[in-house]
Amino acid sequence: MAFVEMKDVMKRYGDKLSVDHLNLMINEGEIFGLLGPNGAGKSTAINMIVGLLRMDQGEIRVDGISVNEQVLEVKRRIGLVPQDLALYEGMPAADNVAFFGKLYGLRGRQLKERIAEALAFVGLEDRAKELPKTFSGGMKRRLNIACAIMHHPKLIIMDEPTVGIDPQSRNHILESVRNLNRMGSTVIYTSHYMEEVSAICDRVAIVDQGHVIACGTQGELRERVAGEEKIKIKATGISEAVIRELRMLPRVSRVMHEDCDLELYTPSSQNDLQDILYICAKHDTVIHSVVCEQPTLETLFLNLTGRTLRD
Amino acid sequence: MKLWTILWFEIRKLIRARVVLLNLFLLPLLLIFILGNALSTVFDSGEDIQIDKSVVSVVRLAGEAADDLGLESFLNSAEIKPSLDVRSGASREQAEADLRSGEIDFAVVIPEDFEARVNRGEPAQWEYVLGQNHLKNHVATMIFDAYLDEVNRMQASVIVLGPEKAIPALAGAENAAIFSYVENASLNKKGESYSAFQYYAASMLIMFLLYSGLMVNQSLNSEIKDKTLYRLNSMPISSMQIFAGKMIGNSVITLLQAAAIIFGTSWMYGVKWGGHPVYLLAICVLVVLCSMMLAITITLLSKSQTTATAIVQFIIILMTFLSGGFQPIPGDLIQKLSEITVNHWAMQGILRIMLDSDPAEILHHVLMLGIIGGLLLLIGMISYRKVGYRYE
Repeated sequence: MAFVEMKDVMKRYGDKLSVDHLNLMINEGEIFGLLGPNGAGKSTAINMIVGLLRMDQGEIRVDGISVNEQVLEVKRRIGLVPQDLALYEGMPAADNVAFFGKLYGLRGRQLKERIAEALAFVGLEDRAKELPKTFSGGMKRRLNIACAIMHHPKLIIMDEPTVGIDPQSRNHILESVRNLNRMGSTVIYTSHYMEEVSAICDRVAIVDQGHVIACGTQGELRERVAGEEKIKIKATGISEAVIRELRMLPRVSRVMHEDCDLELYTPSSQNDLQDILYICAKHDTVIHSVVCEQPTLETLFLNLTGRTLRD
Repeated sequence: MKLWTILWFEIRKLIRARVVLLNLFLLPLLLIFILGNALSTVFDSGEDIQIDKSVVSVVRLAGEAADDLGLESFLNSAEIKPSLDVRSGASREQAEADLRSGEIDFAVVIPEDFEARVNRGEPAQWEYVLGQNHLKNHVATMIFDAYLDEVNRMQASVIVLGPEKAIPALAGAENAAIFSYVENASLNKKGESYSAFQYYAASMLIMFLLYSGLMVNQSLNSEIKDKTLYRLNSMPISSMQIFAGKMIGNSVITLLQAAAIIFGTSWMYGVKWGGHPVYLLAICVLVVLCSMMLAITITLLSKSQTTATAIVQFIIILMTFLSGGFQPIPGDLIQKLSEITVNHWAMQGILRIMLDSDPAEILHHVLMLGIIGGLLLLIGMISYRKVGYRYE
């Protein structure tokens, strides 16, 4: 049985359908990625899982418990890392963790141990008595995580936890997610950064305009765009004639052009690269660099929607 | 237990904010000091000032034989004698000369037509010649004004009721010494009046208690603004527990503030808060309840915190003004309007507690405050049920 089950879930804000017949099955013990552009409905879906929003239609179960019927029981099993920092900046880091821990029912020695454990987990054990308002953005993000995990939740939901932080802190957070998963928690990780989802998630659902447009393991999803290798060419003197002739190549599925950048999609860059370079040279196009890329989740999203994740 | 966690965390948050602490505990005492000091001449030691006997010269321009309408017996009464040493003056010029030389402290000149004017029903007026001592002038003026007011009252009775029905009243006036227009009382002890310090201590106490609503308004909104309510709503705790915890936490701090004002003014400025601590506590609790409910209703129904804060502040200032919290305001309309304010019933209740009035009278004010509190509680509960306290 799935640990998190969303069946035919709908949520409407006025005339806008934010979540449209969403179906998802998330297995126990996996890191599940929800990938989609801003406004795709990821956060709305999460808010409904946590019981922060009432769904208009459908059913959500967490660990077999219905969110509609026993929302407090569901909440007990979840640790939510919100997209925005949700901290009391005027209270010491340890007090923040302690406060949220108490609301999960932790008391006494157990509470003290969990505070120390959570702060150590995010590398803030030395800053326990300091105020979050003196922390860097990355440190605040880490404390934001500590506040959500100290009660050892079965399900950890991370809603874009790396927004606006430096690469070092981002790596630290991604490593933390892996560790939490190794410790037994099921993780739902939402992001519009394809690289992050690719790096840590076992299975991924790509969401757009409120519904799942693709779902599976990374291998399964890449398989769907196996014939979509990308050739990126940086060049000057790209004329309309070059683009027209490149589009006439039989195996090239798409040609995209912007200023000095050309992007071509082909089943095999190895086979087609020679012809592409020949056409460019024929039209006096000066090539500065050529990069061949294997298909990614971004490619799949582009393939399915005609847009990029950051559009 | 979770309610207690929210409550205790709320108290800790407030205590940690030094600016809040200064506003809560230092500002009221400072304001009471400034207002009380500016409007009281009996502040320095907190002890009553000894009023010395004033030497007064009474100049009768109509001659010594003229009917003084009971003035002589009034001046010789047991109540007046300790305050005034009355002598007869020959003329205004002589009285002025005596005032300059310091022989007398005050002079009163009774005009020639005084008796005729009274009989015609015209206002009876005397001329006062003031001396150098402000306090003695004040005492003498008060005594003679009181006498003249009584003469005017009696004459008005004669004109309105006719001589026959007014005879008992006139007889009373002739025998004016039976009752006194002057009563010596300690303003800081049991008496029928209160000092400027007592007045402003009561008024500021109520105003600051009312500000507790603003505190809870800010606290509720900061949870939304800082996104912490989003996290709280994702936890196994109901919105009602969060809401109640924050309200009770703020109430506890406000009642501590009330205690600081009461004990602080008592210790620092000698303000007497009367002998009914239970009623005083009841009034404080009810004012806090009214304030919280008022602020919560406005916060829940307002579109933004700025709007809610502005409305709450305006209402507090308006109620304080109408109830005479800044300065007693005469006028029937204002009086009527003030009766719909929380401040009026709280203020009058506290002043009666300070004066050790009849408990039934105090209870009446407490009950009126309770009724207003109950109504506001009902409105607050309806607003909460309608809007709720959730992260949107």
